[in-house]
Amino acid sequence: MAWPWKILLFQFCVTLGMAVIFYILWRLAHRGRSW
Amino acid sequence: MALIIAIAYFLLLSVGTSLWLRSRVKSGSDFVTGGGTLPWPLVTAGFVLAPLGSGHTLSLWESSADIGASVLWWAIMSGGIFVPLFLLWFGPWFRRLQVQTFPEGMGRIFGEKIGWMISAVFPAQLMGICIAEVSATAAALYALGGGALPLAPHCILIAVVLTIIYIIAAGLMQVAWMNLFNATMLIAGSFMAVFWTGSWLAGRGGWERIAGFYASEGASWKTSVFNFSPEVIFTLIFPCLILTVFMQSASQVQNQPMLMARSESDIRRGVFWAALVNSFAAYPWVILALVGMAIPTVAATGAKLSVPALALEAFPPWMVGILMIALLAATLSTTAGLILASSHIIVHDIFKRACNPRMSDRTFLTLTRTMIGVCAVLVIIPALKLGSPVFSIFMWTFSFAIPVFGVYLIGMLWKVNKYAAWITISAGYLANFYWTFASPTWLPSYLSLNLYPTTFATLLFGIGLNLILPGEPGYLRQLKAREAASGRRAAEA
Repeated sequence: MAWPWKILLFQFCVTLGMAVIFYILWRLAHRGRSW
Repeated sequence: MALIIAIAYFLLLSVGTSLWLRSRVKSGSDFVTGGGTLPWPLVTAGFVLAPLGSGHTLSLWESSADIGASVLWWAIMSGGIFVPLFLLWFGPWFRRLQVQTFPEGMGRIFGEKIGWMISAVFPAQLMGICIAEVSATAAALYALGGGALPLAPHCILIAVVLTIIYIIAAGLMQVAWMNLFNATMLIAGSFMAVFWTGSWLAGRGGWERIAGFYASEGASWKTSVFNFSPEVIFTLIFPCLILTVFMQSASQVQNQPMLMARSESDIRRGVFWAALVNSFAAYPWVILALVGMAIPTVAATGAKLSVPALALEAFPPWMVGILMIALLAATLSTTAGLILASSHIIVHDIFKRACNPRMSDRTFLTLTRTMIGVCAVLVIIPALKLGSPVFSIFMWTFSFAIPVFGVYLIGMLWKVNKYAAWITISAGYLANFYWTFASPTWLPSYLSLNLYPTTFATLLFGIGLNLILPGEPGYLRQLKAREAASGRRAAEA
């Protein structure tokens, strides 16, 4: 894989990963509330 | 030709949305809040393009010449931390305050006077950023247009006219619809340019030739995001965290789209899309700049012009036009949001709430539209003198929001004490002024940014004073208690 695509894949995974962590934190902090 | 394609696109989009939405905006409130009825895709679009200006594009590609692909940490932190924090917590909090502007919200928590003080400071802060964004838009028109039009005054005037027609007809609702198209164009157009560059490089040694060039220069780290030098950590990662979380979260430009959401759920639902768009918006420009700086004829034009120079060398005119649309989508949406937010604060907080609380809705709408024109003129004059975006203007103006948001966060979550709030904001502003105009020379350059002393003063006074002084419970707890009390009263009735 060429270097630009490696960077893109890394950026995608880290950004989405952090967003998912915050989503889980929100779910845990607001149990029972609809999304 | 590229210039014609880009200007035609924005004229068509602006005029089209103006004609379509004009009849939907029936009041001054509709103009600045979008009516509070819009679903999540429009809320997300209205929100996501606001912080994506020259800071995410031009500044990052310019910085990549020195610190390589690691500049993308700015985008990763912004998309992965700021966006979720804002859409899941800060945005819904702002709605719960039931106010129209962030200064009004501060006034509700800490008293009217603090709200008015912030109403006076924030438009100036937003206009400072706006000047830099207009200069960046004009530079994009000039450079990608191959210098067909002079930078000043022609490109600056075009930038300001395109900004005005972005918002003048239907305000925030127009911003939301325009941003929906422009977010698509920003991502699609700039990524198309990267793919085009890939195929252009195919006959010239491919992407590996670029990596090989940097390796031969002893700078192979430039094609990797894992360069964690002190410069990257202290001028990029920490500033990004502080500025996006503390500055942008207090910005009216970010909070205003929350007013147009149908419900809190419509704020939250676009969080993954917004995170990815925010993060990906920077990627193509940095890759194009790294390619450009590895080609001697392009590198000779300098880091700031590396992307336009590469585009003019490698792309056909229509592709340059698409790249220009993508870049202008980022800068124009931010400038338009900044001017709308400044006008909203000036008219709503100063003219209406402070001077004439009985102002009619019709007068409010007329004044807001007039103020958009006034703000645009105020931006033109320094932009003509400035010539190009200046990093120190960003840092100085951005830092004005840091103590305000620090105080807001403490007031919402922990304790409300008016004296602590006044002293903390004043200390933060003093630190910002001192460090901007008398920056110590004994510090390494990467530690001399004014946001560090401003943040330090905010934390020191904000936490210290609230530990010592008594106060009312955090505002979110106050709101919850009021809701519970009104629920009890309703049950008793």
